[in-house]
Amino acid sequence: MFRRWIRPISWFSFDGDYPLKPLPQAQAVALLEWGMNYCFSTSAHHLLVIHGAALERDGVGLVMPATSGSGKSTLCAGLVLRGWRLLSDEMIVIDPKDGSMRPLPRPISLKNESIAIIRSRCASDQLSAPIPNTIKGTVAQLRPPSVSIQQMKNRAVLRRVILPRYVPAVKTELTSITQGQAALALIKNAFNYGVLAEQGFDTVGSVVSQARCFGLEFSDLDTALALIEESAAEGAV
Amino acid sequence: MNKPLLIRFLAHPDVVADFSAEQWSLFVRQADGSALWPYAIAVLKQYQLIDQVPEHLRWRVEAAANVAASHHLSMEWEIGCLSAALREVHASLVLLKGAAYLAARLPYSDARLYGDVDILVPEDKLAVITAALQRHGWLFEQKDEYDQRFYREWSHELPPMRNAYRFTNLDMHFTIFPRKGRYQPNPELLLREKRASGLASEVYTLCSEDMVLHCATHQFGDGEFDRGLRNLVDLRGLLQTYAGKQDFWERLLERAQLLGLQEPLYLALSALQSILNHELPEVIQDHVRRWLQQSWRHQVVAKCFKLATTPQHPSCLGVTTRLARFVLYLRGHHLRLPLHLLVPHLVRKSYLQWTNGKQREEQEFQG
Repeated sequence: MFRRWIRPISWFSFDGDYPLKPLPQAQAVALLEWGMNYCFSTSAHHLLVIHGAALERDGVGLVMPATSGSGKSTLCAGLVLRGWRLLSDEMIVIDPKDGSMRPLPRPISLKNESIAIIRSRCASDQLSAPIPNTIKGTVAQLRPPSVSIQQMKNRAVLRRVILPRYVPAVKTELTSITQGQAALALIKNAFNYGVLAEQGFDTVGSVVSQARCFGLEFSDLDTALALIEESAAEGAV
Repeated sequence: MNKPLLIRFLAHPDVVADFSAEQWSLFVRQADGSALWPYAIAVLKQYQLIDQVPEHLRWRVEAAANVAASHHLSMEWEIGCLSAALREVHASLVLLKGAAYLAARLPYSDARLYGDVDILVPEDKLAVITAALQRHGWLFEQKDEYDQRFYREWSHELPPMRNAYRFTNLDMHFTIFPRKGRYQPNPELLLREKRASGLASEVYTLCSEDMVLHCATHQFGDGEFDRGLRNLVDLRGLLQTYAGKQDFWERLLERAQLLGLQEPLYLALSALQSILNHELPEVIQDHVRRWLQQSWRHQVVAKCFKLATTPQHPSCLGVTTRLARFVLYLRGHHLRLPLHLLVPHLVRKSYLQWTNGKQREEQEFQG
């Protein structure tokens, strides 16, 4: 009752449920983001939803399925600031009917060290004030370019799968991997592969069969971004 | 007066024809919260009302179809695995609740959401069956001595087992109502009347009358309501499937008497009438009426169930509903465990919850 005045907290509720733990009021934006992710990934079972980033440029859809800490959001923010269209930095959304990707553009959530790296590259009003001490550390939100929002109804075609892995001090390198390896990574990071069952298997199979697939180990962001763009430009498929 | 949309739909599916776009949204959320959305879709299809679903909710239909299909597939798979495990020790698999409805291929069982698998085993075979299940990956979650003793001596099932490979839960029952509780149905009588399910050899369900009685006892001898409406729909499905059998009602009343489950049965039948407008044969209506008139207590409890059985959605959880649910929650505890055992148990449980909660908070804080 007195929470309103003393250490106010924020709750996330969804149709009477409180699926997430309440957080201090200062972390309300982060809670809202996680709450929206929760709602989407637990109800959009007509779509294959995979944890990862998705972008598009010149008709080439690119996805980076990955777990937290792999650097996908940093790479995603870097690409967006170089003119890529943001589909989502959190969820790769594939329609099983035709294999097309649906955009879900929302602020890109940056964590810890990546905040400073991105801040040096973007306009000062594009990045929110950092929220310290969340369970994921310090987080800040990067506003997606308005063109990504305007085009949020335009689907994209998946042509590249990149499995990113941030490793401090490693030589930044992009290496080809098989479509099978990429398929396994997509499946491993999917939220609802089990729900879609056979349909999920077929969807993953059909999208990777039309994509070029790479593994990316990186420590230097600029080199990594250049390598990704180079691989995207090579050949239509 | 103002019945929830979902309840109106369950009684008369064609009410959706008059739903506005907002009412449709609310209806879907009420059905979703009550684990009845895939069922509602199946009914809409059967009544050729599926085209009435407005454009903005179409995706909900597709999503629910995928979810229901995956539940069905996974439950069928579990039944197969359990049957293989029990075959090793020459025990027959007797399924209860959802798993049984699937095995009996009840109408709409492919549009039902399934949770844990429930099975009934003869008590003298508990040890050998437990060992077989453990060899196949089902492990007890609670290892605590107290829990094991509590379940074995006072409850009607063992502590839940969880499959280490698939993370599915299994409840192994040795009877269908807590051992120290008000009702004492003899599990040997249940097992003696088991029926081959037709799903696979050595996969059984209770006989149809006992399935009805168990479904009724499960809800009307308990105090949990998240799935109350779904359970009532299950019950209606059982009756719609089996009530046409010759002598069904006579046998049902006989079995209820033999197993000492008349009270939950009458409560269930009364709820079906008053909540879902389900039509019962005249003779049975008379029985229910007479039972209700026997005592004001029966009437109060029946009234509470009527008020408590609402869709699991904030739009239907007003003060009266919550009050009725609280009364029935207390009744449920009282029925399941006599007071002299219940109080120490609850004290212990809340103390543990408090200390565990604190421990967990500290761990999270450090992590």
